[in-house]
Amino acid sequence: MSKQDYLRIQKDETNWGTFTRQPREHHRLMSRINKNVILALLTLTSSAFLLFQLYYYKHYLSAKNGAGLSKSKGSQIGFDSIQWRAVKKFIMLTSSQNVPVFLIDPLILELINKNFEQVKNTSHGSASECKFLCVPRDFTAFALQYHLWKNEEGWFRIAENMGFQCLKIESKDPRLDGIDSLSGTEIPLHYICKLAAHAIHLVVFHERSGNYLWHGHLRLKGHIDRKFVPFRKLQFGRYPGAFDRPELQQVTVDGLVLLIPKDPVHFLEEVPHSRFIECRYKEARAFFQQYLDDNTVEAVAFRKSAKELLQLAARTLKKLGVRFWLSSGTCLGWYRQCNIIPYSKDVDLGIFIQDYKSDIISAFHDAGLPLKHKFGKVEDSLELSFQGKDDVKLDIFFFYEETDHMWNGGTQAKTGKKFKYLFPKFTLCWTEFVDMKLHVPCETIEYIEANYGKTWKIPVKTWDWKRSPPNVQPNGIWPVSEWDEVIQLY
Amino acid sequence: MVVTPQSSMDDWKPSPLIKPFGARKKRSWYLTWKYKLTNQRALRRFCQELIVERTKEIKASNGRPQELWTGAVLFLLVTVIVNIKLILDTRRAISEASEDPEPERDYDEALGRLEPPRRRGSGPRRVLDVEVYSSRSKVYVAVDGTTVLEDEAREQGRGIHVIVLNQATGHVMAKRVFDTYSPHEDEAMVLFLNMVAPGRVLICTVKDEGSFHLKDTAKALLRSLGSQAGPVLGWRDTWAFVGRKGGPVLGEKHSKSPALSSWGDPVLLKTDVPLSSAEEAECHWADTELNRRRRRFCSKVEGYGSVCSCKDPTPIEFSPDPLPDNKVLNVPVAVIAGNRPNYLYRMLRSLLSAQGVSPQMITVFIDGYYEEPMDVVALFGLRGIQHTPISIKNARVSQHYKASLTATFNLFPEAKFAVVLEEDLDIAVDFFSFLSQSIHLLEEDDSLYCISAWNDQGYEHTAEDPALLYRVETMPGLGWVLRKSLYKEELEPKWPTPEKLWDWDMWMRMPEQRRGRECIIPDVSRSYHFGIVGLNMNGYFHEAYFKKHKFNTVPGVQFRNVDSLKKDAYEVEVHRLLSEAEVLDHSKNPCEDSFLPDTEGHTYVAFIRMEKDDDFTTWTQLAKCLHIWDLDVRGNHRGLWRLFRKKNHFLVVGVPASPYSVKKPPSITPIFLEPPPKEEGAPGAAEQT
Repeated sequence: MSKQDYLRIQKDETNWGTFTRQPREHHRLMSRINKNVILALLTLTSSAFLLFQLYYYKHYLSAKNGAGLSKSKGSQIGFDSIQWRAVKKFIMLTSSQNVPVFLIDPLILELINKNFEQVKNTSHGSASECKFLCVPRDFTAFALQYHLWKNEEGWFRIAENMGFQCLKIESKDPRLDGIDSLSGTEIPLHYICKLAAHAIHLVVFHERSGNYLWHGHLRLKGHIDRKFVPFRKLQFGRYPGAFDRPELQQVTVDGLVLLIPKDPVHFLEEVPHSRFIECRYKEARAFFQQYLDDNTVEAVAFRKSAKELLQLAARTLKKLGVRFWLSSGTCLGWYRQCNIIPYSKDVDLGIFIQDYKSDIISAFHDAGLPLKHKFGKVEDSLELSFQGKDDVKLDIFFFYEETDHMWNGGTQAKTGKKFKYLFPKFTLCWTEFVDMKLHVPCETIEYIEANYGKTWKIPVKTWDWKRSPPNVQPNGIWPVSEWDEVIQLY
Repeated sequence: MVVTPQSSMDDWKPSPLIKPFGARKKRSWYLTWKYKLTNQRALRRFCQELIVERTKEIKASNGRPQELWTGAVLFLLVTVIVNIKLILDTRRAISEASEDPEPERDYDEALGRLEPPRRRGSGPRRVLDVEVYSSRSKVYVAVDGTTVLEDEAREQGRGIHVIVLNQATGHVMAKRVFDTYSPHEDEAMVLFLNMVAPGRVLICTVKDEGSFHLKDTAKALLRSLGSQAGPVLGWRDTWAFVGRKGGPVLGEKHSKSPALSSWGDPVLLKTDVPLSSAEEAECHWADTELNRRRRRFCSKVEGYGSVCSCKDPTPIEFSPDPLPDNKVLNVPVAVIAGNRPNYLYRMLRSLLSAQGVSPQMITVFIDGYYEEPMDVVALFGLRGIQHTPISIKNARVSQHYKASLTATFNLFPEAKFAVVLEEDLDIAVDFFSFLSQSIHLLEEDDSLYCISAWNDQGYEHTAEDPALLYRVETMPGLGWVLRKSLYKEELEPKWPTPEKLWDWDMWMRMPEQRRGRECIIPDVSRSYHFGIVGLNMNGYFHEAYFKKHKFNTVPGVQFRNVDSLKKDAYEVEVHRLLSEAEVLDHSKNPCEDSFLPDTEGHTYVAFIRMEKDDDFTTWTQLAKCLHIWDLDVRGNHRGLWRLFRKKNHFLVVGVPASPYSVKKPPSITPIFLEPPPKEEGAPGAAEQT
């Protein structure tokens, strides 16, 4: 062994690795010691350390991430499960504090729904086996209608005294966004209360104009512990969401009295399609600073009739169960200025052709909106137009889906010429427009740019539906023999 | 951390274990802790021995206890693996831990920014240096170099300026000026100083003149604060004072005015104020949610009286009796406020004490980013919303109203109505009871514009019957109910834009908006306008037109015959009244007290001249001599005014414009009162704020 090596060892006393190269100077000194004894000692120490490490490792793991370990536990020991206990404690807390919560957890609602007969027949306390609330999972989601909550203040503390660790996600109130320069107290959006390894996610629903409930985006701010719970596994909060106001019913589940939506199926259907986008109020204000709003008597009157027509159409289609979204000029008005464009003269809606129902025309007729014209047929380029009050027209375009795009058709009455308007594929999101909850394409900007080009921000008053849209394509001509069917004017 | 005994280099490859050790600096706390536990030295010696022994053994070995060896090696292998696992885990924990501190630090910094370093040195020397300047034309106060008061404006700010500092933080808790040159201001000062909690730092300084109406009570109070000069303050003296309430004087300077026509020399007082500990500055209230709110409030502001009293604080939760069958429980209440926090405090107290109030329906809209009104709102646990001011003067108020009303209906999308209140109103104990009994009218009768708690003509001497309601063509405001459909469909789309300097209430009274609709009002008002500082308000104006307004204080009044207020029913009611009314002696002067007989409970009618619908010449003169609202026409219904005189119902009909003129006996000549010559006419169209 070199001198340098030796020095290094001397210097770096704690460098255990180097001991493998420990010199053999001691060899002779130690030769007397029985090697069996040493071996035994070695084994003993090793095992002692091994045990210690195992113990420590386990301790460390369970402290850090008990959820992982407890998963298997829950399904085995029924009412002792960590999930059931957390839910029970949470229900105790909310009922004592008069917090009107109801269960919205999709997993459990699904289970309850499947076994609804059984749930209905079990009275309080008679459950023998924990079937629903003991299912292994990281979260149980509850909801609360904020306006029904009378004593928000003390709640948090009591929860923490009961052993919950709670996180409150707040944000500014989107209902004030549409109004110039208001800033209010922040509103609670989500509470996450952790009891041991299980967490209760309380989604706070806020009432919005248009008779629906809204919940916010769960956005983690800088100081929030990102490891508090596995946030990615949350069922709600990835996006803001909109829901119909559910009626509630009381059920006894696994010995606990809970409120759940009266129509769990409807609620469960809403969940995957609940994503909500807010109108771009800030941009709309900037738009009006540049172009000034039209507040003439005619503009006010048109907006009023267009709003009434839109409300009537929405009511009618909802009754039929037909999905629709804001299209063309109405969509542009929403996106660009959060309002109806006063010179647009009509209301435009889009419907997927697979949602077409033959009684649409009669339903609109009964609602006081007679058919004005019908172009195309269900198989091709269908377009319906209804006559509203005060000369405002309702146009419904039916959208056809291809592998990589969507399109709707147009027909020129005089010549029988067909047109095709192409759109990139899109999905539907909820938004709020003129005091209603309505659908718009989630990929709004792509949709609008397809229809109006990159210059959609600049108001254009003269618009030729056959030439102006950048996404229009000629699509041949209807055979004269079909004209009676595909060009109907009333 | 190598707890695995390593065997010799001959039969062991360098373990992968060794590598992580390079990163020893990253060692987490528990590794260090483990190190200590493992008693390194002893272990190392032991290992050395082992290694040596092993080497020896290998040398000598000719395969003796091979099984034992394999077992031991296997065992060691397991140890190694466990070690590796532990190390990997540890490293992960370390890297996770190192991700977070960044945002945490940001947050701390953000917190640091919120609290400006007011305290000099912030270290052991907890002292504020305070500068106070008093002179004829300028006063200023600086605390640790920060100017907290500076007033050198001409023709204003006369009198004694008072500033209250928190004795623990040095924060300004209140700032007032009492124009003690004018009468009664010293009383307000006494009131204020008495409310300040003991221990607070008081700073006083005089601008221009502060002694003329500084009466003995005020001087005695200043003496009790330990001031030498205050009690003997003379005409145009300058005076600067710093002292602790109930404690020692920390500095005082005074300069006497040499002559009636001149002022004392400017004085500049510089003094050190030792800060006390936070515990001393706070009261020991029980630790409840309410008291937490109270503590937060009381550590920030002063001048709210017993709400911050340590011994016997006034409640901030009132829990008035609920109203049976409350029809307005879910009607949102918008309180429109500016920067008059003391008014807001008084207003909210009365509002929260009214029977049937639901606090979670209340939203206070503050015009501007003022802190103190927000503090008041937070004290009562209510929702407060601030509004960036748009435009100026009346248009600013107007824009604030619009934003507040829109926000109210956005926040409560299910509401069909909203109650609109202002910060300078007292709310009657039966305010919600009044609305609960009358709100259905607004739903059922399209000819109604609003329900208002305020009777413009309901003065002490002209209002009598707490159970009586009227229909009037004017919109009184001052505590009223707005129908959502009216707002959303008619008013909001054409609300005056910021560049139009219109009053929102004047605009709402215009025929284009009102369109012939009427408001329901009580004879005895359910709100009381106490504000004397405001955009269109001053002390004289308030004394003349608002002070003697009648205000109901009786709870649980049942209104009579509410449905007779509907459009057609009301006509029947008015005709019945006129038919049974006794016609007064029209030869007498209507301004004389003797115009009405000394009876009680009678109904009398007088006919005045009113040529056209908008001819109010005689009415205005009559209103003037009756000492009721005469600045514009209020309270009329189709040329009829209803009020009380000497406990008799007194009807006034404008002939021939009113359809009720048919009730005039042919022999009666309508009264005509000459308007005064133009030049001394009534002040223009001033109105309420």
